[in-house]
Amino acid sequence: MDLTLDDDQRLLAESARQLFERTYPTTAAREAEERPEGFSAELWARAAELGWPGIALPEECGGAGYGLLELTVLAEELGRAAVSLPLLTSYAATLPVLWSGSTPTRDAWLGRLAGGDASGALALLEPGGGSERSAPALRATASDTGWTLSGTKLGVRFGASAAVLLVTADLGDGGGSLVAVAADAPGVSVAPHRTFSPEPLAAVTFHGVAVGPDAVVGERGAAAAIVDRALAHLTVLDTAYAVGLGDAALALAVDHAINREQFGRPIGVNQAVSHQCVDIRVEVDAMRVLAHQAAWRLDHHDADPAAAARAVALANAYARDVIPGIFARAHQVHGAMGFTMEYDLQLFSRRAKSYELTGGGAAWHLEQVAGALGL
Amino acid sequence: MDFDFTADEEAFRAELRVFLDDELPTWWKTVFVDDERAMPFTRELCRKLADRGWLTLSWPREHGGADGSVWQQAVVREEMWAAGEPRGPQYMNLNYIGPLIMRFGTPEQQARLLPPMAAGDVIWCQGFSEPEAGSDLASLKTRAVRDGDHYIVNGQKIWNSYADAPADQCLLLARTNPDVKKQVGISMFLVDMRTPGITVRPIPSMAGKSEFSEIFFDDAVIPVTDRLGDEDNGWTLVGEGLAFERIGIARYARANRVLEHLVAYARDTEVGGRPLAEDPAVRARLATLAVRIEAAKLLNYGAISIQAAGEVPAIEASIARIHNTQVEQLAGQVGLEVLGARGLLLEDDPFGLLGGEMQRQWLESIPVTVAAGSTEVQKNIIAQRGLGLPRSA
Repeated sequence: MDLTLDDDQRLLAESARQLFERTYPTTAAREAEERPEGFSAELWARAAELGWPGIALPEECGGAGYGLLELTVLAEELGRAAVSLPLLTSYAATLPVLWSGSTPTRDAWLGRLAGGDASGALALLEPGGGSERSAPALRATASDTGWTLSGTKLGVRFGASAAVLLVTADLGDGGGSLVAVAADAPGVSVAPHRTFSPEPLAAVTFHGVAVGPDAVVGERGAAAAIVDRALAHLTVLDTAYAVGLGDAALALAVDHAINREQFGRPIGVNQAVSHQCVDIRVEVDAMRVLAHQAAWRLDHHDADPAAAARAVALANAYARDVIPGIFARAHQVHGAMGFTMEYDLQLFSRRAKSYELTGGGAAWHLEQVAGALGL
Repeated sequence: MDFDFTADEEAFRAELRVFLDDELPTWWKTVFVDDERAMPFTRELCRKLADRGWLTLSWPREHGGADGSVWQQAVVREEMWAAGEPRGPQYMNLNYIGPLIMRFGTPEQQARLLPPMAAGDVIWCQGFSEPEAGSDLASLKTRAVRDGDHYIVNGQKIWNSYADAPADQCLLLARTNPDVKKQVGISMFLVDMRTPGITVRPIPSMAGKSEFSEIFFDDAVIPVTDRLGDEDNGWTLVGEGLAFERIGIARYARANRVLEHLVAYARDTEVGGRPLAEDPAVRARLATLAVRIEAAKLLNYGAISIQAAGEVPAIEASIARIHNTQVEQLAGQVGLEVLGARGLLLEDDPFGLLGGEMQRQWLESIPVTVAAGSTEVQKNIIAQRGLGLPRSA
């Protein structure tokens, strides 16, 4: 047992933090939101130079051969600096290709995704009230060369800039199938959503898009298990990102409690204020250690798959349960100032709400915990 | 990072469980119950643990220990607390009173006081709080006045767990200098409880007759050789001792044992023709408890990891303590919710459920967010030392 980060992991976190402090002030986060693709292309290029897109991918496909834990460490730093990059979502879209892609699909995408020359996106959510894990209604009709896809996917994270989309569709097998579709394939159209989320979301519509058998990732009809496993990785990364968000909100709140004076003294002398800051720290620390455990157990998945699934559920359930309260307190400590667009807190609190609602809510993850308990 | 115990540590845990299965009588519940058999049993069990070298496993060899790792110690704490702490009061000796004596005691004190602890022969209590000194512990008034080779002690202590066990020794805080800043004029003593002038009076609590006591000192004569550390330096020792103590109890392990029993109960109990385990509200409550237990456990492991790396996890220990005390209370709360009105029945009622475990868990956990530094005191520590916030007004 040892819950401390090793030297490489600490160095990775520090170098990311320094990079963002040096080159990515919150003004840059604000500018990124105004761009059509929703992130800084310069920062993405820098991330690619540093090898981040492939950090958790095996060396044989162009990665660095580290694990999910290292990417988790990076994710926290991204959150702390309110960085939006397709780093985490693209990694999650790469995993199905890595695990189960056909040779042509792997050859076409793995190297580019690992090098950051292209990004991928999971396209799962559909109109109609389901979640990312619902069986897809997106229709595919058989054709001479494979299938023709017709329908719409919603809420595709970084969808407007993705070069490859991992799409769940009903190929007529009685279960969803996962299909890799190039974003520039004829018939694919992408429209950014209007959203209060700082992370760019897009609707992707397929107008009779032709896909062949090689595009199917994994067994036909067996998308659910692959998607579930990819989402396990993504939700843990998102939780680590939310740890960074919470820690950044805490730093702002503490700073405000020290510098804001009322009745002739800092408001932080009042326990009604200081204890709200402490409560944030108490919960953020728990979010972090649970996220680390989940990442570590996913990295050791084959040794104990049930323990990995349980750890993922615990981390996600806890974080999604406490994150609204963390940000409610951060806002309360700031008074009216935290509600302004000028002040930075909104950069983090809008991202936190985005996190909370993505990848399954607290109740869904709590039910996974119940299942893991044998209930 | 590594989130698993080693195979050796797991084997040791299995050995401990077999030992406890063999040794714990069917009547054993927890150390706090009103049962005359309980305290003598804890003494007997401690001696057996000592015989196996498990009592002071983590102590250095020179003081009768086995140089065990902090993780072996964590395994012992988990198994013991989950089983209702059958070491009784003696866990305090092992966790922090012994280590304080190792760190600050004279060779004579170490030679005299540590071997009985290592043998499982001695019960210590703690004499810190006073009627007028709770969270503001440093304002304590019990006086120790130097008189040649002795101190004359007068005053009153309160909320002293296990003092009527009866305790053999008391780790006492008393004021030796009333003319300086309150934190500076305090000394720590290692007091023989058989000293004339010491009286113990139990205070009945919601959890039983002898959860805690008052201790009165009337001209009690304490030899100078029973002072721990320098005169007027007791407050420093308190800080050291409590840092050991905050992660010294594996509260999550007890909460987890409660959870296991509730899961089994929910699976085995039918309500309206279907298992209680299918009730979405019950599933959500038990899952919430499981999540909070995991958070508390991992935060303890995180603090222990820092300790293992040779650093002092001051803030981390306070954060872990907040989670651990709250989850012990949540376990009792969820337990009684799941049982419903039948949870009110005691174990000796013919319709009582789960041996009365849930009502006991609820009752015994009421004071855990208050004892040894209330949650608010922990939060003040975190605010000032962890977050750099100004001192409270």
